Amino acid sequence: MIPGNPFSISVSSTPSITRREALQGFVVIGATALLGRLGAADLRPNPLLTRRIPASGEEIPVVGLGSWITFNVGDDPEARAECTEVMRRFFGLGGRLIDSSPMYGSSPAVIGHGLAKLGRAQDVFSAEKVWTSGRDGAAQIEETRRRWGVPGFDLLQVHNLDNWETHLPLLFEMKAAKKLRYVGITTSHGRRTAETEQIMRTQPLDFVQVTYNAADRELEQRLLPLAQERGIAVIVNRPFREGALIKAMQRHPLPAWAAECDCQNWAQFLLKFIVSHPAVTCAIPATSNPAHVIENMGAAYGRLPDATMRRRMIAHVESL
Amino acid sequence: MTEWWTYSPANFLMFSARTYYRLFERHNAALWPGQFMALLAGAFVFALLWRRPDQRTTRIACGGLVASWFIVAIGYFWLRYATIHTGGRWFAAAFAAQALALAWGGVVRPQLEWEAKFTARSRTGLGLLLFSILLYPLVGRLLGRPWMQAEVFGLTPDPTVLATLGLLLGAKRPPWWLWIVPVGWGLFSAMTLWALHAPEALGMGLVPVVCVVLVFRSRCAQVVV
Repeated sequence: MIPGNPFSISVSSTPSITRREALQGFVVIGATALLGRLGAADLRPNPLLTRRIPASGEEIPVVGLGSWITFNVGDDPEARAECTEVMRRFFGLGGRLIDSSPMYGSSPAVIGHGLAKLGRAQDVFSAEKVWTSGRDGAAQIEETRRRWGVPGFDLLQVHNLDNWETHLPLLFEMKAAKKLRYVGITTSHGRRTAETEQIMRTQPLDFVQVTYNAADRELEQRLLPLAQERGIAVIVNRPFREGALIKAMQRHPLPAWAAECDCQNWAQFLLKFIVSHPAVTCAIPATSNPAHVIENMGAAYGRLPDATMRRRMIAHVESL
Repeated sequence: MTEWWTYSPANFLMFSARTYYRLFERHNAALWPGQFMALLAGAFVFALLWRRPDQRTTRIACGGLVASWFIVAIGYFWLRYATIHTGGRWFAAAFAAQALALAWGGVVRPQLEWEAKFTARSRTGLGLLLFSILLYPLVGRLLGRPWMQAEVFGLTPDPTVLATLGLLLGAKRPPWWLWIVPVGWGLFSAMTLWALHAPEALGMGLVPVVCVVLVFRSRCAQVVV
């Protein structure tokens, strides 16, 4: 970690990395190796990569778990069991932040089901949203909290900036009353960027959630530097463009030089590109496939690309 | 919704294809063996209209559709679809409203009547009715999905909507308000299927449009005559 830089990467020397998390480094490498994605040379201990939340200094792993579409499985017991397995592996590999929204159908309830089954309600970094056009935000938040089965949320975000003028004061009030730890806003697909920037400049936000990946990099120009300047943590959604980007990449072989930053598959290549941006705190790939969560969490271990490698990654993705 | 031009049907899709088809699987398991009763009832309606298309048989057919729309409203939308779609209960209300509209316009104060002599339009309507009742459950199987995920007339929305469009297409002068929900759901379902990359999206989108065009053309021709 670079002293004084709230966006620097933490490694094993930081007190936030416990022996348990270090052991999880072995677990992820071992689990991936079992899936045939790593060679024996890669079987080495790796610390879990974390980033500091500028507002508090708290550290969270650079890879989280999204739930849009993937966790909206209704009351299907078979599909709920699979989502619970995804969460079990996610936590087992050191994951903490899970993101959802009342707009995601049954996803909050499915997360709550998994947390209860795994007994992880105390461990999760819960990132939820408020999404209503009326003034009933408080009631919606309480209903969502009940569905998660947690005592309170770590982070509440105004979903897609909808009705943010009404909701942000409520969230700041909850934070002041210590009923909430962090406040944020979200947008996606690069929409409403100017308005997002304006809110970031004028409101004391802790988090902003945006879309950023190797193919959608417009935010590098203004919004990500602004987040650094204002000390706002950045959560990145749609890291794989809802699977389309990774599907396009998987038609081509992973370049051999990807191993220089410990990328063993395209998921790790795309995720490490995102989380190596100094403004990014955490990426939240969504999956309902337990095997994919192992691949994704692999991006939270090993070396990250430096600036030169990032340029090479961009050039490679653009050439495909 | 700001910057609406940047949205596509896929942006509104809340669930995966797997979750969507699992819904039918669980719906079918819960209603088993009701599928056979629904198929028999549908075949009976088709046979009635085929053998003697008149006001009485149209009324009986409407009665069958009223029951179907209610079953889909409660059994499918309220109890199942609403678990994966935030608008599920609104769709349940729309399907229940269509059931009431069919009860009023087709049974209580019948405004629907098939002509005794088949026309090109009523033959097309009969064909659509036959397809939705007997052939639609096979579509999923032909596309590689298991039998337990079959969509059956009277129990699931798409074949029920197609059958209703067939009935309306074959009737002499169907009231405009009976078209709203079937056409609306047909287009919505087509967008959903399109976003799920399901091949049947094209048919589900085209059928309501073709039905409306055929009825409109037929009315224009009557005005000219």
